[in-house]
Amino acid sequence: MRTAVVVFPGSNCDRDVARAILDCGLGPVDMVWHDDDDFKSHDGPDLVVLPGGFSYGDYLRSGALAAKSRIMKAVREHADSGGLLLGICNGFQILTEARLLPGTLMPNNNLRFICAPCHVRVERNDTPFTKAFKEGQVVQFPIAHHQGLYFLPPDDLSALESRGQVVFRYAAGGKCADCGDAGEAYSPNGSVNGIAGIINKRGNVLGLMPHPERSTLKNLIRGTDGRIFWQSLGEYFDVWRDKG
Amino acid sequence: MKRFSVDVTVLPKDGVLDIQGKAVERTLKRGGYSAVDDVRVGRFIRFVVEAEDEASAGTLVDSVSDDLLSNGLIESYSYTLEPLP
Repeated sequence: MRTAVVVFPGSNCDRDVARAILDCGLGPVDMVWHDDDDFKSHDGPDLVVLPGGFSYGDYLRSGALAAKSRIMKAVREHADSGGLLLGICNGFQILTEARLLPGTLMPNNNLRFICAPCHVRVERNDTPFTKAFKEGQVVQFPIAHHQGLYFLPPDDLSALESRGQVVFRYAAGGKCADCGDAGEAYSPNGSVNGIAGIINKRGNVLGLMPHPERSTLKNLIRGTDGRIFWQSLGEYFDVWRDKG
Repeated sequence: MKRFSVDVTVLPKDGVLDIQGKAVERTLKRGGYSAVDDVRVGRFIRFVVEAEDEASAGTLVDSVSDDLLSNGLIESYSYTLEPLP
């Protein structure tokens, strides 16, 4: 499994993603500069990651300027040819601004930057990004964002839901983490329908606001649920050898 | 070629939640400005374009605004063109 992590000016989770992937034994990982024309590896990456951070200082709108970066042509071609593309946090914002995913991320409805552990329910485990989860499993990933309110006009939202494109939904935590309740009531940021992550129709482009890479390394912060995310990709490419 | 000064205003669309506008409105009302209502917070962008005439300058500004300055899903834009000497 060869991964390309795109580094934009202002990315700050690029190395976290690389480290998480390497820690799971899923290397190699190439770091690719946003102003490059193409990916470094000649064979091309299996997975391209747009990491979290504050590309271009969130100027204009989060992700808007990064979506016009030189490397995005290669990123788009990778996705168009069926390659896996993952956007985490700011990466998700970039994917919507590049119109590789529908909708947009608006400022949190409490106007605060939220940095906290949060619970999400895995709505689908038939994607390359989620195949190691149980369907309906509630896991804990940290969030850290100011613009994470997922918005899509009502008609488009119904279509998105009926096509099953919602992959992660904010869920109840604490004592109720096992109840499996999820939805808008549990959105820390006001996301419509409690949407935390979506996939494109084709099923190869995923964007999510929570950070699985921040709950991957053992003995770092509480929880390693993020490992299951990388395990999914590892199993998809048949390179998962981690036995815990 | 002529030069035009362009002022683009980007605002949240009607009906789209504008929490910045709401926060500003609440603060104003709390400060005694009870006559203020319906506050919307957007962006103002000024730049210069070169074009054959005003019509082609307008076409260019539409393109720039749709492509980058605004997100048509949640924002609308308007602009004014001023010929430069």
